[in-house]
Amino acid sequence: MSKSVMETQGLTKNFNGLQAVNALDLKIKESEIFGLLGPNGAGKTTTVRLLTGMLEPSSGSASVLGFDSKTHSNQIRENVGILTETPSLYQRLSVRDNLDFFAKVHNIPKEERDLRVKNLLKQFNIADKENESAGKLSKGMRQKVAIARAIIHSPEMLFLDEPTGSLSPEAAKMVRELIVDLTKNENRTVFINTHNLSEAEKLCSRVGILERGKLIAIGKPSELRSLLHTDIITVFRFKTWDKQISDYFSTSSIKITDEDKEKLSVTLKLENIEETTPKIIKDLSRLDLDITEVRHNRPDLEQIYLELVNGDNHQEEMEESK
Amino acid sequence: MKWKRLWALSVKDIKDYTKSKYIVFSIIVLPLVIGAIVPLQVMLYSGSFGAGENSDESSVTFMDNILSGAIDDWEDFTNQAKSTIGIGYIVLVLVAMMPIIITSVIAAETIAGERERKTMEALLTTPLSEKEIVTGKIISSFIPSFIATTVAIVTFSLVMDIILYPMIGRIFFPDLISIIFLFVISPIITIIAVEGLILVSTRVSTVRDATQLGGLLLIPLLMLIGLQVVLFFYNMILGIVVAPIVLLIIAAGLFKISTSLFKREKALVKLV
Repeated sequence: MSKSVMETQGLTKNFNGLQAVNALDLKIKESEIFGLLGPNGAGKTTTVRLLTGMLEPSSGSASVLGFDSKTHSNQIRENVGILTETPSLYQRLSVRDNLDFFAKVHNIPKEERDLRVKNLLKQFNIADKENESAGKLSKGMRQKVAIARAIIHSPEMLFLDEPTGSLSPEAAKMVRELIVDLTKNENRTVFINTHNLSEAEKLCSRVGILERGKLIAIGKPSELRSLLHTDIITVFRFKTWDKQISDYFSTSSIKITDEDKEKLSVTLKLENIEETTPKIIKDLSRLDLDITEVRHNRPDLEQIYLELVNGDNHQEEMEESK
Repeated sequence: MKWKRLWALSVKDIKDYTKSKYIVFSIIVLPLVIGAIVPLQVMLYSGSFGAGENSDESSVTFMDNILSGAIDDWEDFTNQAKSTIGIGYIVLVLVAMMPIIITSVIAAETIAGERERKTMEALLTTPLSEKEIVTGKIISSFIPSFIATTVAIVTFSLVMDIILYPMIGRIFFPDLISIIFLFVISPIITIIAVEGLILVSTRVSTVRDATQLGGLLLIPLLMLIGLQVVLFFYNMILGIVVAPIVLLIIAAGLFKISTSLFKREKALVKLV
């Protein structure tokens, strides 16, 4: 079993009475890609800043790679790579100088530094931009340089804050591929902050959902699905519309959620789909109804997220009204 | 403190701001103007290039009182030479003020500039400690002003000696007073200025705010330089030994304050 590389216990941060992070309990295992999801202002960036010792917790504790974030924050920053929400490159300096500076502050010797800069520029396909001012690069290029900067010292763990946040779809795809490469080939533990749910679903082995500083759900995307009250939606589509379709469903115990005569389809919420679906197909075939398509729509991370976040808000509103 | 990575920060800062033509212009032009053009202009108006002994007798007497104890062969000089040397010392005070002006531009640029250009957060993600960040910034702000001072004193000495040589038959500048003043007193006052400006820069969000607030800070520093000049001629021992020690204590105190007040958390919260 992989060991835990990051752990928080009741991690809390208050800013002038505002609880930015609220009693966060979290464990991340080695080589895991963990995604922290949440809307803007949920406390994702504050969480990363707490974990990397850039902010001191109001209460609770966090340890990253065995170092306490309060007492050994410099050691944490020596051993992790951090990608901030904005690339924050020194615009007047060249790409090489930007990378070289971060390698130097990690005490990488000159020869090794030169080699790493060269290799990273090659790996990220920006070798031709080596001597160009960072300010002249496109957003996607700048993000590549910022990621290269975050991994120049070969950190064991990476914190990526909204890595594709302000990028075009093409640039975002390119950055996602880079992240996958880094984790697959180099076995790094990655902590990603994102509000992009499809990105989290594609990249992360586990996700946590943060809402107003509080972790309201955590697990594999598939585990979170099972937390939902949302059933799997099944859609039956027919070759032609027949009155018998409506009659069949009105007499059976199955509930139709939608009947669309134009699209020749009915949408159902089924329980125990493995048994119910073949039975319906059999019954409808007996009635000589031509079924052209049967589709099960599983809720995606976006639906899970919305249900959890809205559910949490709803619960709070109920409590407040009491 | 890890000096290697602290030095890396200073080098990065120097590389970064020397890409700004305005800063490079002030580092190159200011010492040349103050070191060469100002003394030439003052001499021209004061009649130092004239053939006659047209210096005001009362001002020469005043300089006699002040400088005769400090310069061995003072009594051998003509009135013209005496007034030229006196003006030279006044210009020297200007040269001593120059690094403070240069520093004020750079120190504001290095901390408030990092915040303004949104690079501060990336800097705070590095393993550099708060003390290393502040020390690195002090060094990177100090170095150009020290270089500028050296350029200014070399230029100033050249111009002054070209003017003075025909009058006194020897090279006069740089003398002991100017060397101590420019390479001991002025650097310490510059460090005090850098520390003060860095303190100010950590509390504001833009370079403009830092420069404006820093301007206020310059007033007591210029007064310190004035006080130091008086001390030099009033009592050499006080000027050469005691004053630098007092100034060093002030610089050390300010260093302690600026490093203890610069906190990652505060710097980050200011970014939000």
